[in-house]
Amino acid sequence: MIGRIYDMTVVGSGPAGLTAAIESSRLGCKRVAVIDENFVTGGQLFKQIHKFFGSKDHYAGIRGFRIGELLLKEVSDLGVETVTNAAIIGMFDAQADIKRLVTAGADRVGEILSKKVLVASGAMENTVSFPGWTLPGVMGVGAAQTMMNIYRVRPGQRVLVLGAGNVGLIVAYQMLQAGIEVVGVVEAMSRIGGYQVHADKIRRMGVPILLSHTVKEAIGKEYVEKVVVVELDENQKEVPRSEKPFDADALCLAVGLTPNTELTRLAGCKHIFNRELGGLVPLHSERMETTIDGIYVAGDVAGIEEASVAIDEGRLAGTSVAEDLGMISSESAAKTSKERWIRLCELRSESFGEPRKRAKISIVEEYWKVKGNQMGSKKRWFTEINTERAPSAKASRNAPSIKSNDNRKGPRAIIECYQEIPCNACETGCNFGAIKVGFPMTNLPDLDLDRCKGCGICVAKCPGLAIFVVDTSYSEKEATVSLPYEMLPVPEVGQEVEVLGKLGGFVCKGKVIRVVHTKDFDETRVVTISVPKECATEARFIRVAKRSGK
Amino acid sequence: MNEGECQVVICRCEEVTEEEIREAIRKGARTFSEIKKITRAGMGICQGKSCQRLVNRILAEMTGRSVEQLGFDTPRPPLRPIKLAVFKGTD
Amino acid sequence: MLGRFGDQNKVTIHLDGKEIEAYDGDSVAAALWGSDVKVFNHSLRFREPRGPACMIGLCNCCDMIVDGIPNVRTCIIPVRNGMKLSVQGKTK
Repeated sequence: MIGRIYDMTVVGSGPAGLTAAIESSRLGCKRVAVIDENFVTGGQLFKQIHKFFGSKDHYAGIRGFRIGELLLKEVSDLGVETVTNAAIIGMFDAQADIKRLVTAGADRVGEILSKKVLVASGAMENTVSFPGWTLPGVMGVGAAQTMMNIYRVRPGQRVLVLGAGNVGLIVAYQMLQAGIEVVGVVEAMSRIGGYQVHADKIRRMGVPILLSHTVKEAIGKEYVEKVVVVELDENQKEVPRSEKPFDADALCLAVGLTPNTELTRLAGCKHIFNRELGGLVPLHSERMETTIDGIYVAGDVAGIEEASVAIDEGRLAGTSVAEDLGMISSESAAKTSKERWIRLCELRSESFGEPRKRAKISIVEEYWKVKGNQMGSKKRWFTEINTERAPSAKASRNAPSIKSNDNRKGPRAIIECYQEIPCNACETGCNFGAIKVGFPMTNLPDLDLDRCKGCGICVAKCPGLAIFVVDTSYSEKEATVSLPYEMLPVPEVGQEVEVLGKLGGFVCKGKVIRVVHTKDFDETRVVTISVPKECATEARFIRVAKRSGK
Repeated sequence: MNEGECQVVICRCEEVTEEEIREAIRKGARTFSEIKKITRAGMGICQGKSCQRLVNRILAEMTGRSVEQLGFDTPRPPLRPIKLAVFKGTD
Repeated sequence: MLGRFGDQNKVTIHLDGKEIEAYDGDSVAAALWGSDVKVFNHSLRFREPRGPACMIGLCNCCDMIVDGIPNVRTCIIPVRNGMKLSVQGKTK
């Protein structure tokens, strides 16, 4: 690495860093390096074994780690230099045209000279301090994810999760997939912070979600053995004598993330505190450049969001670097970057995303306030983007008016997706055009019963596992329910199963009559069971009895 | 053994307890930097990555300021622990 | 979801004299946790047990003595055959 001056050095090999390296290389940057202090690359992406939400452009319906594999291959094909086991311990000459990064490996320090630096250092999980919080076994949910999905190690056998945001709910589901008993998800607020569909997935498997509760204490000698949970009143104060003990050998905290801004603060970039985005974030322009020219940010370090955002921000940063190095014209850079902003605004919409969109816009505006008239040559195209959605053909859509007991013969889909989240995988996945989401993609899906053939493809395609196909005309006494199934062991045709309802309670006994899986379904099997007709509206999950003798 | 709420450590690395942090604030510490100098919270091997947020929350509560107003300290190199011997052999 | 497991080469690492089997590609912390090792070090002041908390090299709770070198973040280094590990810090 001595003597070479890099066009761009990326700190962090997660989705933002990788896409930035790819984009800048594709646009002509010759010497691009990606540095990671870990010995594995990919950041959080490889832990995401669930299917992403969003649109096709956002890789909807594709499992995170598969996206990671694609990105790593592209990085390699483009000749980007990837260095692992190298921590960035300092940056000098941050304001100069050529920045100096100092790396440290096990036994050496090194220096990287780079014209442009992208800090894509991601985020760190927050902690909560209660008695016993430092015991082994008390860890972040991300740590549990790393153990399970990267290394195939269970964080525990009986696990309690603190925090019902999307991260907590998703990882709780992944723990169930890993054969872990999730004794409960505890949430201090009186409502679930994450998507309803994520909560439904674990509820139908019998995991209780305790709202208005929190962890009071973790108890154990050498590691966690018991967790004491306590109820909270409307003022968030502990309700006396409401302590509930849980036997658990791991307590996973899902209490938010904080951007890793050590390097950007060290370099002297200006930051601002923004609660929506997770705390202190570096100010950046719409082109992802910080208040120090030549230093860019992308991904969680610029605000806690999600992988799809990190990917688009990485692309934005890569384009900006290429533009600033003269590889592409400002006009063409502005064109693609504006499109990406519009796509990012689509992701950041409705009740879940709108606060983040507002936060990001204020970050950009604050950047321009700080930079003021210094940026004469760099065009501000941000004001040209309409960050508000076009008035949508929303029509009043509340809960879909699909009744489960209509008299239509044959199977038809039921879409239990009642929140405006940015996702249209069902619309894209239906081969008969029976599901409409439209623009913006936060619209609730609308099912055209006349077009719906009940084929069940949507059951496998919905990343939220929120679609079911019901046929109440199967026989005189029975109906069939097709549901998405991602657990092992795979159910077998003819198997008798226990049928569970939305809250994981026993509904009835059923029989597996069909199991469909294609490569396209990517491990989401569509399992069709026969149940007594009156149970069809309740039936949402199955418990496969262990084979006798095992 | 640690008993009671205030014996809970806030800085995991230097094991500074909540009570010690509150005491520093009672004595006049108004910023994370000042608390760090008095108690060593944030001086440990993780350099405040785990505790700065928790300390700021206590500071905000006791001084009536919002977390926004408190700011964060400025990191200095090296951002990760390195052996002194490493400086002898630069790559 | 993630396909088959168990096809990797096995390696042997040593923890305070005890042999532990691990898979090539494991992080040291994952290999130890997967072998039911929960205590990685004892804290400096109150000598309390500590184990991995963040698993991405940011919190230092998984620090151990690795091949004689202390304060090594075991969650971001790979296992190596013959590696010698030691629980860091004194117990109460």
